[in-house]
Parts: sequence; C-alpha cells; structure tokens
Amino acid sequence: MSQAMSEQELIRGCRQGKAGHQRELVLRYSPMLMTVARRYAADEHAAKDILQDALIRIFQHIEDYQPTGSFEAWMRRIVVTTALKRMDRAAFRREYSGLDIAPEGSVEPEIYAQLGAETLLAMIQGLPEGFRQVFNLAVIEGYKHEEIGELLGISASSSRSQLARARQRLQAMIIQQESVNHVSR
Amino acid sequence: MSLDNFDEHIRQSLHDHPSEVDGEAIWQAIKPRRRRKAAIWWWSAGLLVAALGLGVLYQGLRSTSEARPKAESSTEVSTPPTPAAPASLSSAVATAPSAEPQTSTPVAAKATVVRSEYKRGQSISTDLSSPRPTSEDPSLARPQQVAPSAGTPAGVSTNKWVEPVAENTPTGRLQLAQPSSPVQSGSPEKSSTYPSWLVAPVASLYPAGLPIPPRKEPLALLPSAAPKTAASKWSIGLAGLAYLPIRNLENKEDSLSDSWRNQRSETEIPLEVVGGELSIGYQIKPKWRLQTGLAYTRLSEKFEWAVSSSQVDSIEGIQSIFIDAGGDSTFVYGPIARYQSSRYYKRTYNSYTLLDVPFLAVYESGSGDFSLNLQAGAYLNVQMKAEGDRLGPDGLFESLAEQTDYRSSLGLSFHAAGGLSWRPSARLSLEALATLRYFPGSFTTEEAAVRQSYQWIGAKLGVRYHLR
Repeated sequence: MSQAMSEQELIRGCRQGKAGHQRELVLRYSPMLMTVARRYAADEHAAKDILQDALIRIFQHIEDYQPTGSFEAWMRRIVVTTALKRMDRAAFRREYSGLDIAPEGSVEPEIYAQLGAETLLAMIQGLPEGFRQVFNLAVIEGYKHEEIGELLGISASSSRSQLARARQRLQAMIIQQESVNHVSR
Repeated sequence: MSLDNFDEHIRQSLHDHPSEVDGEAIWQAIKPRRRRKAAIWWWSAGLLVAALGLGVLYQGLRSTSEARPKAESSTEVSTPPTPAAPASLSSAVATAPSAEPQTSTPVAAKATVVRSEYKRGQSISTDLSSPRPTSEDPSLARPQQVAPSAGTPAGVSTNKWVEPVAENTPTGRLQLAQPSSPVQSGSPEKSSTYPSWLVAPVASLYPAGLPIPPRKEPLALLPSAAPKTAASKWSIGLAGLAYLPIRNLENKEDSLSDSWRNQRSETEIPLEVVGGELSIGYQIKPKWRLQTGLAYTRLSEKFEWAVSSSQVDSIEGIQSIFIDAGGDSTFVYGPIARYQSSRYYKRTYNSYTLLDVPFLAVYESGSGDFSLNLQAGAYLNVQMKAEGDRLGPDGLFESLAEQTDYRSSLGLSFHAAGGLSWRPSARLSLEALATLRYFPGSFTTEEAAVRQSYQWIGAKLGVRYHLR
C-alpha cells in the first residue's frame, strides 16, 4: 500500500470496505491509538483488546464520520468510548478502600519533567480503575466533570473527588520513583 | 506543585506518544471480524443480475424452442390447444397398438382438432385424416381450433368423450368404434389401424367406453402448452417482504448532536425489516399490470446500554482506635466515607411500523410457466409509528413514542424489484423478487438534531390469484 495515500483516500477506501485500505489504517494509526488504549487499560493485554474492538467499531461506523472534524480525534474518541464500555464498574467500589492513605506532598516541576511518556503511562496504568478513567477523561481528553459524570454514571462531585485523589496517587508514585532514582544515583 | 503545569506536562507527553505495537498482528486479529458493508451491495446487485439473467435466458430458450422446426409424430400433431383434453386423447391414441411403427419422419398431414368446450356430456372429435401442412405452414405452430358449432367434419374418427368430467380433471372414457371406421394416426401414408380382433373384446369389456385415467403430469412428448391466460384482467396478490435496513444518522453541525449521534450509533443496532403486502392488480396490456393495495412493514432495532453509577457520602463513625501501653483505648470519631454503586442495564427491541399504499407497475414477459417479473413504483406511507427507547442528548433514556422528532407519515418512497414468476396453473402465479426500497426523506422531522434515514434492500415472495 502506498505510503503517500492521503487520509481522504484512506477513509474513502475504508468506507468501500477495501481490505488494503483498512490494513493501511490499522498500520498507520495503531501506535497512536494504542497509547490511548493503554491509558485506559490496566495492562497491555487489556489495551490490545480495547484497540482491536475500537478498530472494528471504527470500520463499522466510518460512514458516520463527518470530514468537518479531525479524523484522528474521531478515532481517539471511539477508543475512549470502547474502553469505557469495557470498564469494570464494580471496581469503583472496591478501590475506594485505599482512598485516604495517599500521602500528601508536592512534586516540583523539575522532577516530573524528567519523567518519560512510558513511565507516565505505567503510572497511569497503575491507578485504580475509577481514578484512571476520571484522570484520563479530565486531564487528557479535557472533559468537564459534568460530562465525565454522564459518561461514567457518577455525579460531578464524585468525579472531582476522584480526580483529586488520582492526582494524589500520581504524586505519591512520582515521589516514590524519584526517591528510587535518588538512591540509585 | 502547579496542577495546571502537571496536567499540561502529562497531556503533552502522552498526546502524540506512539506506543510500540505490532500493527500487522493487530490487523490479522481483526481481519475476520470486519463487517464488509460493500458485500451487502454486491450480494444484492448479484441477486438482481442473476434474476434478470435467468429471466432473459429463459426468454431466449423459449424463443429458440418456438422457432425450431418440428418433426411431428402423429401423437404430437393430434394435440389440441388445451392442456386437459388433448393429453388424455393423445395418451389414448399413443397407447393403442398400431399396425405400423411410428416414425418421426416429417409428414404432410394435418391434424385438425375439433374441440367443443370441455364440459360435461359434450364430445370431442378428432379428424386425423385431412391433409397435413408442411413445416412452413404457420398453422403447424399451433393446433387449430374449430368451433364446435361448425359441425363434425367428414372423416372424423369416432373418438368420443362420453363421461362427465370435472373441470381441469381429464378423466373420461374413450368410446371405441367398430373397425369400419378405424382410428388413424399419423399421415395417410403411415396410418395405423386398430384391428377388429382387438377392438371387439375391449368394446365388450367396456360398453360405456374405455376408461382413461386422470392425467397427473404432462406428457413429455407434448409440445409446450398454450399460454395460460385467465379470463379476467384482475388479480389479487399476497406477498411477504424481508429487507436488510441500512441506516444513516446525520448530525447537524454542532458538537452536541455529533456526540449524540455517535452515542446513538453505538447503542442502536438495526436488525431487519419484515412485512406483508395485500394487493390487487389490473392488466392494462398483455405484459403490463398495475398494482395497488396495502402494505405493512416493521423495522426492528436493538437498543442496548449499560449505565453504572457511584455515590459517595459520609456517615459519622469510629475513625480510629488508639490503645496505649496501659491498655486504655481512645476512640476517634468522625466522618467515614460511604460508597454506593449501582449498575443499570437496559435492552429494548425498538420498532418502526409503516403502513403503506403501493402504486406499482409490473412488467411480466413470458408466455409459459416462468416469466420475467420487473416491478417499479412508489409506496405512499400513510402512517409511521416508532416504539422503544433510545439514549437522549442528555444521556438519559427516552421513549421513542414520546418524541416529537419522528414523522407520523413518511410520504413517498420508491420501489424497484426484479425476479421470476412461476405460473403453476392458469389462475395462480408465484413470484420471487429481489427488491430495493429507497426513502428520499428521513424518518425524522427537519427540527430533529440528528437526521435518521434508511434504505432497504431485500426480497419479496408472493402469490397471485388471477380472477375469472
């Protein structure tokens, strides 16, 4: 498949069900979409499942894509929706047991600026399910708490509190990471 | 720590970060799971082309068969135009022993069948002795009918139907004459004669005539029957309809309807359309018929959505207990977080029921049992009713029946179909057609934030009774 295939050509071919164009879409966008899937998944295996389901949904609904918006953003949104559908909502309840044990502290910008994307991804994956989803939706996707509440079936205040606690957890992880690095240095 | 900086750093770090993934493995995993929309169209187009091809092929074969010069035997020539009487008569003649073997050599003899109406108590006579035309004679193409009132021609044989027979049931008796007027078959040069030693015992055994068993199947030697035509131009029909709906949701330009459309696309799955049609037809020309009637169709969809909710509040309780070295306990009271979560799963089978009046023009080409059937026209929708549930723009469930953005009637939609008709009897025909239903408008009003429209593709199976 030609590397020079434009996005419009790719979309047109996928709409016509052409296998070559669909394969090209998978090869071209999987790395970017996999990052989105990994942010919402607890592990790599779950992320792959999310990515595969999302790609199927992209092919099924590509007729609905309106060229007025960004194609990448549209695909990202489908990955997010797919991930949320697979979310273990029962985990919301279980994970609150550890809410109040997050240590307080501050992280200086020079510390977290040194963290690479993969390290951040691993930390986000390490968050409890509910924290992870709220953090992703609020911080990365830019949803408001009211919208997150609608998406996850929780109240806006719950979304706010979970985001605060997710940040606390991440801070703790970053501090812990920094101390490990400090000792190793 | 500045939260904004922290968030921005994570956003920037992860937004364009590509993960290492084996794209080829992902493609191989999802390859068999893709839904190929194009295949639906190819299947439908193929079905339509196959139906048209079969029709054209059949027409071609039939034309060739009719144009082919016939090598008549005596049995073929003696076939009258109706399928009932001639078959029995021919079978009787064919089973009679002949003095000379039958040949298929073209002969110059003409069999004129004098046929009365095939009713109770009336007779059928056969003249097998008159001169027979050559193959160029157009009268060979079809046996000639002579009105019964014209009188029995000279030299007619004494074959006579004497038993009452039921309509379309060729039972009766063949009365055998004495050999003074032998039954002849074939040309004058190659005629066969029943010998008296054979006729006499049979006649004594069957004084009322030779019983002829009812004919169950057409004789293979007979040429194709004359066209089965009904006396009346009116017909009534009943058809079953099955379609695959292809749905299209279009949003308006704002982002709210965009996200709503996406949510609806994911939660509503079109299933199938089934229905029935009762119609009356009037034949305006030999191959053309106009049809109208009443059609009822039901489009089914599955609505499925799961919602989870979590509530967090606090109650007063013991937060911690301290026990000192002396064994004294200190209870610390305060608010304790309480979490409640619930999950709500909903599945509804939605339906859109349509009541239509069809206005169709039907073209049927074919003079035998099978004919090509092409239909085109419009359906006037007089009522549309939506029932079920959907996800509203606010993310809450809402009943379709309570919404104002569905039309109560859809107006005109267009129909095209092609296939075959099979006519097992003079009054009955069966139809099998590949059909396409095109809705130029949407099921929703102009004010609706998301435009919901359909196209249907499927099949139509029907039976039609041609009135007397």
